[in-house]
Amino acid sequence: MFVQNYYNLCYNIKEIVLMKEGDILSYKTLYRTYRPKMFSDVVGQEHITRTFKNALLKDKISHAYLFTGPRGTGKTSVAKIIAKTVNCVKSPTDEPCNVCESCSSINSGFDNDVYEIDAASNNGVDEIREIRDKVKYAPTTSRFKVYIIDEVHMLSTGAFNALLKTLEEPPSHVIFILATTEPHKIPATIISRCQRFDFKSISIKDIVARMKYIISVENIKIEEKAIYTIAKNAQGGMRDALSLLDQVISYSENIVIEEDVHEITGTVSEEKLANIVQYLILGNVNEAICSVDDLISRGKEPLRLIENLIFYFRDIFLINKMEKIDEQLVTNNSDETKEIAAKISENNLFELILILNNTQYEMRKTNQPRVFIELALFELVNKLFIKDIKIEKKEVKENTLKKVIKESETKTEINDSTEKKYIDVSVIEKILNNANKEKKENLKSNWSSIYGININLTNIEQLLIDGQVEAVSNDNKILLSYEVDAECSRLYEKDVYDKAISILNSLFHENYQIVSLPLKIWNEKKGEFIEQFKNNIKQPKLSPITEPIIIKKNNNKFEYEPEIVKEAIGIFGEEIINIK
Amino acid sequence: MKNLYLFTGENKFEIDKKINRMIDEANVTDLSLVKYDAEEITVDEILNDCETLPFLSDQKIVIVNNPLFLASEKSKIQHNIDRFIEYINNPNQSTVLIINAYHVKLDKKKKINKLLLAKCESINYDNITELEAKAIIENRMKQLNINIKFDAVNELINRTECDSLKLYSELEKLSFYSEDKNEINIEDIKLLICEPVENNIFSLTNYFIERKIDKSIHVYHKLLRNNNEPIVFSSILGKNFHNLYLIKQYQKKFFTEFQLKNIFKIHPYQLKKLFQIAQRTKEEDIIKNIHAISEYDINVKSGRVDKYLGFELLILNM
Ligand SMILES: [Zn+2]
Repeated sequence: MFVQNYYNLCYNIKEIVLMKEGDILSYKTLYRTYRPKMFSDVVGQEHITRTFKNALLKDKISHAYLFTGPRGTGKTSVAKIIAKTVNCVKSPTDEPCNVCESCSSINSGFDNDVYEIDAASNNGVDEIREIRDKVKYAPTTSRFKVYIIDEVHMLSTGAFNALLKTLEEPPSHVIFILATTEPHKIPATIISRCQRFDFKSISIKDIVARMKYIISVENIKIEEKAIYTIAKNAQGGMRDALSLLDQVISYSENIVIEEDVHEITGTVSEEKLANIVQYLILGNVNEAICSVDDLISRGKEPLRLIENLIFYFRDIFLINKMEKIDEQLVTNNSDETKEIAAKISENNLFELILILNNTQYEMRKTNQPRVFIELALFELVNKLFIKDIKIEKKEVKENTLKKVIKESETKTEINDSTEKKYIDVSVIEKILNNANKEKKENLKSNWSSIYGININLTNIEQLLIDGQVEAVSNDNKILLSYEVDAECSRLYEKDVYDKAISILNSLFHENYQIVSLPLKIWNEKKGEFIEQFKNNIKQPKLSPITEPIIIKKNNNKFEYEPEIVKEAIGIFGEEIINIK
Repeated sequence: MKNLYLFTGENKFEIDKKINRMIDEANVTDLSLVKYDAEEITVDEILNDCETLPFLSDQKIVIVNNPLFLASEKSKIQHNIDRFIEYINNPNQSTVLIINAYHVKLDKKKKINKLLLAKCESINYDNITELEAKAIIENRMKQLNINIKFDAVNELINRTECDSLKLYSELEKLSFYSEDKNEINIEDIKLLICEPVENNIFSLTNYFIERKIDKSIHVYHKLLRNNNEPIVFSSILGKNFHNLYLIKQYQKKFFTEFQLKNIFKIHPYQLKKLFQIAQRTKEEDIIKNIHAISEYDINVKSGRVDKYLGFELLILNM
């Protein structure tokens, strides 16, 4: 999701930059102006510049190099610096002089012996054949002919073969520098002919430092926070950072502030996201909705908003789970976010993200995305706010629900094919009071044999494997728990249930029946049971299950229903909510 | 020098080195050295050349690369094998014919191959072992007067996969990088030495088993930075776990790593690693991972979850 956005973003920037270049009064972009001209200018690739400086000073040159790494990390810049260094009048040297005839003609892009080829636009065999034919002629004025082939993975198979022939026996006056963002698309035969260098993505710290240098030279007025926001957005690419900087400069009126960056990228600031989540933790869903509405009325796209929220919770998840927080990966990492993270349990986070993810999925299918965000906020508050939710909030939720039904057709469709049912807790009680530990251990230790030697499981086998055997009663009722609610409720669909039973019974030669429970409910009920058991209550009683399960409706009403299904239906309470 | 040579094996570096040394020793002119690709030129044309006299030197060297027609798979070109057999039985005395069957698996059932093995000076170079790789690294470092840490040597072997071509290329890089340094540690290796994608996915397999969240997240992002598709590497990851499961079953029946070499068609180095992992991993942990990965796959393919986010959740939820 975030990588995708980031690419969309880059695409937009690219377009705008192109527009500018097309302008007659073309203004030179920051990226072009501040493109590194010698090894010491290159940011974040010390391992590479160091190696080249030492090698070139000793005049040790390979005839083919492969540069791999993310976009905007300096691959073609370094390639050009190498071309200059080997052809410079001062050669052998470790830096180009940038003043001699050769250096300046390479800088201007019109050197006769340095060829820059963009494989993305030249993927034909012909171009490479031409190289292959011309390669044997000595360079016109310089020591070396240098071929820089950018995005080399775009070459066709034929072109790769032609290139391979040249790489197998390169004339001594030729250097090939191949650059790519997608090394896995390059044939192994080509890779084995090259000395390979991996460019790393540039750290936020290094990007910020470079931007600050440029800002001071160019005398740009910009807030400190805005610089960081740009650097975080650039995802390790200097070109993207400077393009975005270019864009915000022309967008902002006076001094560039953080919000300018968010407006251009369509993102929401960490502070605002933190605010929304804070409200949810306090159980104040109304305020959370107001904040969201406010953002939307200021022009934020609901879909981008939910993406930002997902990303925010994803960052919290990483903060909670990782031993060391890597600011490169976790961009929402302020103290406030860390405080919020400490308040949310890890188990909850997975569910929270799933709720938002499902919301996003639904939002794409509807033309009323905003309502889905509001609904999601209700679901989130249920998870985040631990204490009872007051009745007035329930009313608001019902109002919103009605709104959804009115406004969105997709949602009613879903409701037509599903129904809510409630599990009768007395069935669980009976199983637990008649639990047979030996039977349970036995079944548990053989559970993985559902697998057999064959990995290609059917859905039903998969479903069974996913269940956790929690208890088996004397009369062979198995209690299964499921982490994923949707999986749990599948075992209440008749055909699924029948198949599951027949797999189990033919495998274990028993007469099993299954009752499935969502893990969360199981943990609650188990807790109640153990508590009472400890207090010497012989037949513990469990409190009713208030959370419904959502089941796909069985369309065929006249179908014969075997005993267990009847009983399974019998364990539901009467209440069926039909929203019409 | 003999008139017929046959090179086989996976070690391109050593094969090329030996052939180049032969060329130097023969001291032939450029005009008397010809290389052919047997997937582009027919045997007839090659043999015509073999049968003509050398130009301005005593001997002529003809190198045949890519002789896929010696393997069991089909070659792109129709070759006149009978004439080839005839020539091998009676080669031209002024020509040195070198058949470079690097990476070509000779079909032992073919008559021509039996003949080649009988008549040619045949030389086989296979990939180096870990011990040999270790010796090469330590020798080179001694020459450069550099102290290399034990774990750095292992990491270097790991990343170059006992491929001598790769190893020498990386050692050259390392020699430039480490000038005015007197010690190389594992961080230097990680920074400078390239790592094959499969290797990354391998570490991921290992980290999944060991439930190392930080490391998994970092490897995952490394894969992303090189534009690898999550759906592609998750399926390789799934395959690794599938193999682990099967290896585990064989281990229960006391199969050795050596016996499995014939059953699994995977790189011996990878098999070795998988075998080790399977030995110390519980079956249920392997199965759990297979489930999680297949669930991820289904969710992504049905559009329920974003492929990037989904993979992170897979890691965070392990
Ligand atoms: Zn110069």
